[in-house]
Amino acid sequence: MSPDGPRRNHNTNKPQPRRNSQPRPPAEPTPAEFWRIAPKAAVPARITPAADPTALVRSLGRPPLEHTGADRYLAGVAQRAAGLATALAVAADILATTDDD
Amino acid sequence: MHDVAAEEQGPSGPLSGEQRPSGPLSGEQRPSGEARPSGGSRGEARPVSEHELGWAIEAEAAGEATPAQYAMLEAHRVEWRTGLARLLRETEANLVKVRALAGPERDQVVADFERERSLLASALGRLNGVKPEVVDDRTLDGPGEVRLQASWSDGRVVMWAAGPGTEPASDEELGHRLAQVDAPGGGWWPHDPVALPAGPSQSRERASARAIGMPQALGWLVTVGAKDRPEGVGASVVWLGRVAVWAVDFVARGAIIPTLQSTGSSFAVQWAPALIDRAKLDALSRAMPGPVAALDRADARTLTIDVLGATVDAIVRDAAGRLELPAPPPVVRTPADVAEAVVTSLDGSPFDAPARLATPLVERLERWAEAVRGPVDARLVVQLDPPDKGGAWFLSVLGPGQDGRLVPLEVALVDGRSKRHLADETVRLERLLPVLNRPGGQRRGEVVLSQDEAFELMGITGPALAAAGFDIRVPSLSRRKPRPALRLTAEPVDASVVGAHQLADVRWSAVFDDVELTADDIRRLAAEARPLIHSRGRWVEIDRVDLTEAAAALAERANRTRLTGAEVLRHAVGLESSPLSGGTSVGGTGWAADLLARTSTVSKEAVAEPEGFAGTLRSYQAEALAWLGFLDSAGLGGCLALDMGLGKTPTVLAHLARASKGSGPTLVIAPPAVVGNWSAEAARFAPGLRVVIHHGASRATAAELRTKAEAADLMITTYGTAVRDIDAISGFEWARVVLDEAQAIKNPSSDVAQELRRIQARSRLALTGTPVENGLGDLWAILDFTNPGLLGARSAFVSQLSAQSKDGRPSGEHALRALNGVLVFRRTKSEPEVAAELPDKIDELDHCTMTPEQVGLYQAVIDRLVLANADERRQGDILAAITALKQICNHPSAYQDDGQSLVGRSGKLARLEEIVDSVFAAGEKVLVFTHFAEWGKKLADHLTARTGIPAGCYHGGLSRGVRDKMIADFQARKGPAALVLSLKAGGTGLNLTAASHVVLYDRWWNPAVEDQARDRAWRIGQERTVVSHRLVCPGTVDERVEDVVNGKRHIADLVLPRSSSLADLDPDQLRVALGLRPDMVLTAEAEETATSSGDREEAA
Repeated sequence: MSPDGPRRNHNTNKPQPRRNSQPRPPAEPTPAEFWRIAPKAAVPARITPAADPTALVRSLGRPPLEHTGADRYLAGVAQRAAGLATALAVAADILATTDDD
Repeated sequence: MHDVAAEEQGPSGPLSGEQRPSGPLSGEQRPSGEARPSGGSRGEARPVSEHELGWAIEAEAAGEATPAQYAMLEAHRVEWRTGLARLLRETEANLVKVRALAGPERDQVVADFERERSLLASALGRLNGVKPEVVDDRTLDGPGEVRLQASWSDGRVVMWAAGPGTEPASDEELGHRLAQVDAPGGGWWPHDPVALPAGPSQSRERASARAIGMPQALGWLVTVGAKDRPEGVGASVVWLGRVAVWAVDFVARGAIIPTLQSTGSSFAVQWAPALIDRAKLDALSRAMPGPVAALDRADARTLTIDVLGATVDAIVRDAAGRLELPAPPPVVRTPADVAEAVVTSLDGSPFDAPARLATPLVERLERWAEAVRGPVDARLVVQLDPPDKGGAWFLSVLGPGQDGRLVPLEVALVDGRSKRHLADETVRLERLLPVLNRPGGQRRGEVVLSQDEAFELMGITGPALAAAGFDIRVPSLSRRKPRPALRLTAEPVDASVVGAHQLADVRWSAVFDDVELTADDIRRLAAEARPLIHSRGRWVEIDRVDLTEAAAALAERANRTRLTGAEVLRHAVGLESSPLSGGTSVGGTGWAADLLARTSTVSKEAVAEPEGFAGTLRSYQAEALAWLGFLDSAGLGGCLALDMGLGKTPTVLAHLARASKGSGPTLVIAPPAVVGNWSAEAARFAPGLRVVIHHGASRATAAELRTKAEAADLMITTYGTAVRDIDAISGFEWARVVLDEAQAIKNPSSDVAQELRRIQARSRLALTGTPVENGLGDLWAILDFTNPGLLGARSAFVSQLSAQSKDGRPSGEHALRALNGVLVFRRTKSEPEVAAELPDKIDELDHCTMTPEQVGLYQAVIDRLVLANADERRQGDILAAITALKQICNHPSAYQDDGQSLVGRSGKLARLEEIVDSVFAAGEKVLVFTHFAEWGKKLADHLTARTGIPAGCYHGGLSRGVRDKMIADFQARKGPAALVLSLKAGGTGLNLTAASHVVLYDRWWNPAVEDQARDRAWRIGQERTVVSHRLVCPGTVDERVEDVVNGKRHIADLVLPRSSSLADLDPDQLRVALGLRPDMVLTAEAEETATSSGDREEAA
């Protein structure tokens, strides 16, 4: 089945929200909203650098750049950036330790 | 990682009636059940129309559902989840469209869709029972408390300090607070005050602010964001830090893509995160504190993505700036120039380019990376099944089907949701895993891999695919090289025969980690391209050389199918050669296997305060005690090889106190110097033991010996006496025989070693701190005494353990490690866990013997003193006599320099030699103090000649320079060394921390002087326990000095019980004060005092 039924009611070229009765968000928050109690962002998991940080860029195929070394430079940046990110993780003591024996 | 399949399938498990919500869903009420109709099977639920269900889904998400709608949804949970997920996708797609709109209503429309998306996402999370990625602490910044806050504004971090209901901090205080939390010291610039919201009747507060760019703030923010509860900063700063850490994670994984942004005629590369986890993005957005948006009123999700993107960009630009990129083209005139400008400006440097040339590239780059831009909706799963019986590894690619469940790729591409996205993802996957395109597969996304290809996928390609955003489900692969070993499995031929002679049928196999391989298994593995085994839940590749060696080892042993218990034990402890690096392990049953199995549990039986023992054992002593109990129960002998000073004697006494009752007498054979120690420590630690000393002229006769022994629990004797009385001693069976300082039998052909082997005992124990003084032959001699015949031939023992020591470790220590816990119990002071329990210093009192020559000289001095005319005797004569007596206790040659050899003439010297031998064998250094400088020189010469290691004598007659050099040389010298010092010259001011042993060869009246001497070694800079030996001849003036030192009497009482002058003593008083006490003097035959010297000479 499809739950599209209700949405067809306002199926126009320009998308419309489904409930026009929603109040407009205040332009400026009240002090209570500003200092509101909100969930606290979780402590981040430890960072595990990729063995091959160029994989994602490579998976996209040749970049649309008319330059013979484009893919090599992109890979080089990805590798150097991963190294820098790893250094940042080490400095913040959040680098994961490998469990491979 | 965000698991789309899980989101759409939901967790499994029953939903109880109590869990069913009856109103707007709250965190406490959220359903966490299985996606099944509550009434039972799906077929039992009331049919509903799509419209009905659709309205119910929306109403529930908005918290407006009626009880009837809830009931309907509960009855159709699968459809509920599927519909909710679809609504969420559509809303997000619409949100993208409306953001591109212009006009006065744009903001309102965007806000409405964002609210809609938030409601749907929350509803889906509740339905899936997914705990939001937040922790329990829901309080941000407490009321009335000013904290550092951070706002995001136009790509910069704006810092200010305020809190709910407080006045914001001034700029000066802001600077102070920033410094307190180690914020960057530079890179700030002033920022307009941040206007804080005010209530209806309040005036707006404005907080002083400073701004900093993300590149400058990055390191600090990551550090803040990585901490659980960073101090001194508000929740908004922590939140920015959490986003910064997330950005670091993206870059570390390589999940980044370049984009091209335009600002008028200028363009710049901007790096963006790829494959953003939708659930995590939603969770972080929901957790965004209000102050973050104080300057930018965009919705939380937009701000989160903005901060994330800016942080990723800052890291990658910084990294790209460190690369050597080619120079940009001077003028951009062609599309190729634009491409070149992009490549040369990957560090974000702006470049000018005509819009007609650059804009198409902007779009092409967007299309190129479209598959990984933005939140991830559906992921492909790459699954590798373990091999079938034929060794084929089946690889399949799965994608979400219409209902969100994982289906084969071919099905998902035709019938699944997000078909276009899945198609893009498939292309990406096939680029990285071209084996998927191999002809011959039955369906797209399915292929059978060889072992080699599977290994490649598990070890190399798999992690790369995961980094590229695919869900990889492959068996674990360990990169560790498994260590090969032999395994011997024994089954006794006749279980009624117990002990070392028990015969057993044995089977041989090779073991790699925990995987046992027969010869057939090895042949099969050797035929494979990559020999893989499954060990401890992981696949491991076996080295081909190891495999070949294992095959050869098994072939060599194919005919060795029956062994004795002793042979099995020798294999287990490494005394039989094994070509495999892991040695040989023993399994099965029988005497040896059972014994070895017990060794692994012995340490659990450690008791620190055993019954009958008046004291507390240290941990390693308690373990040693358990090991002694194990030896008794196994009918084995052993060598207790605790380092000098670690307390061998109390440990054995604890064992005897516990085990001796009713088991028969134990015979302890010890050097004369420690016989007194055994007696004293037995009285102190094991007062329940009946102790007899069998030594000296008044000892039991041969006829009396057995009766005396059987009336006691412990008989203590010396090596010399034991050899002399060996016929009587070996005439009956002892419960135990204990050899203290067992290096005395290291020469197995010596009379002592040969004679002592005649002693009958149910258990034989050897005590020594240096079981390998001169080589492995020493250890063999000791162990062959404790377990005659068990170790096999001496030459085989030595060569086997020497051969094993190719790892660079001294062969002696290697052997001790191999045997440790079975036939040897070894602990050293250098082991951290042992050192941690030791006091800084250990004092030992050694009772030394007197040779007949010493006794004769001593008596002669007394006689001369007593016989002298009392009128002529002066106090100075008595003091001179005391000095002479002390010199005689040291050595006859210290009293009268007769130019004769020093060997064999003094019990004290013999004891010193034993101590020095032990210290040197351990590679350590020793200081020897005497207050007779001339004797000190002789001692130093004697030790030098005896050990071959130069020993100096530090005394007041040397020039300052010589003395300084002597100290410097001693401290700097590597390895064992001895230094003799006169108490007067060397007792103070020196720093001799290189030494960890101190021998106080003779005693001084004032204990403080001795303490000062010992403190040459035991002082700041000393990292080891210092063992201090005091040498005393019982029954002589030496012992009376000991009493004075111990505070048991005063000097005056020693010589003058009631008189006021030394000269007033009558002959009897003089004899009492200074004479020998025959009942206490330890006399030794010359051969006893020469034992160690003789051995040394023999060894040399």
